[in-house]
Amino acid sequence: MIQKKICLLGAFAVGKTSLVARFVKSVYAEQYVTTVGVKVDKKALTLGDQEISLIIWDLAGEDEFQKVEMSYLRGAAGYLLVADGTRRSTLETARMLAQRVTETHGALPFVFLVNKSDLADDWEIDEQALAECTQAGWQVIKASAKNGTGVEEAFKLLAAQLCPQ
Amino acid sequence: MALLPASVLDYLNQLTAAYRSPAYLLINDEGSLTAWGGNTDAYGLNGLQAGAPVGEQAFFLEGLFPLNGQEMVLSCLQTDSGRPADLHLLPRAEGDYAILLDATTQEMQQRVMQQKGNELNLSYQRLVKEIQKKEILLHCIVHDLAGPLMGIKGGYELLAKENISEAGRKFLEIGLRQANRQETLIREILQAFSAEVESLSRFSGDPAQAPDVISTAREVIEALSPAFALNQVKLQLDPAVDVTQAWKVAGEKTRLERVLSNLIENALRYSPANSTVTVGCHDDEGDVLVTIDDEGPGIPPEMAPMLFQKFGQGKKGRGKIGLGLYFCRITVEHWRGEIGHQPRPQGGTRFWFRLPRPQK
Repeated sequence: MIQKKICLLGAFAVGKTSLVARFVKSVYAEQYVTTVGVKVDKKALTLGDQEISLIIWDLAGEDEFQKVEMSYLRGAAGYLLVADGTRRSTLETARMLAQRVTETHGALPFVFLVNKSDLADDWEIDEQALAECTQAGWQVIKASAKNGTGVEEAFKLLAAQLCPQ
Repeated sequence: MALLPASVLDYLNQLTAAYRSPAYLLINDEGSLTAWGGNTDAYGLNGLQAGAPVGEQAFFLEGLFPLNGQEMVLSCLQTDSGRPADLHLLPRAEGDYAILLDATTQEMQQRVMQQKGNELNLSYQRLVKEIQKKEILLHCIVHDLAGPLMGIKGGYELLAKENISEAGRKFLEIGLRQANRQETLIREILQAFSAEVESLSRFSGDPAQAPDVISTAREVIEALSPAFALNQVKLQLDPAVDVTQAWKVAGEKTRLERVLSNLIENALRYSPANSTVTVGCHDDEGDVLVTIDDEGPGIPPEMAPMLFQKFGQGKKGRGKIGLGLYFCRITVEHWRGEIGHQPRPQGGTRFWFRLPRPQK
């Protein structure tokens, strides 16, 4: 089985830890608990006839006092870029992080996951903004860590890009 | 920095060993484990085997080696099976070291501060959003409630042009004064009770309550007729509209009235005397397309992009506070419709909005 390291990047409180918990353990907790440093998890997947073990680095979110340390991405094969659909500012943070990753580690494969699709009425990131991301070549998935929509799809989409053809 | 005496260095080593539970793994060029030591159990590293790939034995180290001479520290790394650790990556002649130092205390202290900071930040963002929503709603309601007063005042002013007695004229002045006073009172009361009116923004979406565009438009036209007459502008329902068919849309009557009223009032503001404003209704691939045509000067190109934005009133400030069209847009879009405007070939502007019919 091949092992690949992937990272989750995004602004604080976009739901990165909840997405990992949903994907790895199929659980969801309402309470927000901030991540300090990095939390590493592991999950095995089967894609077609290939087995892959994802080593998932859930990095502390970017905020005004704390920047995401790019050295955590050392050895990463790809990453999930996460934004919170109800907070437009998190899209700007995602764009900035994607640019920093490219500058420090080159053009790694990534999937852009917009979390909290269960709160669609409160979304500030509109379809036009998402269309701009798609036009820029981003793979965009709307997901909800709360009800599970799109979560596995996003991880699998990224994993498929990491598997040798 | 001056070199530390051996006894001090020794003390520091003991301190680290006692409080930071050090552990190390030594990895060769092929990424296999060659040696290890210290308190590896504390980090969930059990059953280690020399010669096996390090990523298979300590999954959090996958992808990090070889270090290629690069030294680094990754702080506060956590897994489910061990303590939080600062991971020091150290390239040396004998191989690459991964050194783990317990970071439980640092993690706890940082978590408390970071949690507080992030929660405060989120609360602030939510508060700003809430204030904006209420501000918009309040302004929309003020804008809306002021609308009928425009009709009342227009009616009084038309009446003043009639041949009435001196005593009647005095009563008219009283009426006008009271209408103005009422306008002020409405604003003050709404400001005081803004929180309570928030519930008005909710939309049930019940198809049984779906309003009919034509009957709603007739009511709005009737209410605004005095204001139009005063300005010598004709307001009409397009005679070509088939009034025998149902023109129901997926929306809510009071808000539809407000949308129509705002668009028609807007047309009046820019209509010259002796011109006509026409309200039309068309079938558009199953949706209902409502049009409001005026014969005004048209929209200056520089105004067009901000017309439906908050406070996007024209340069001349003929609108009230620039929220009427903004309200129309957010309402129509909330009902999964579209809104827009276009110049008319014969002059003037067509404002339009398209709404889906209610689902049976």
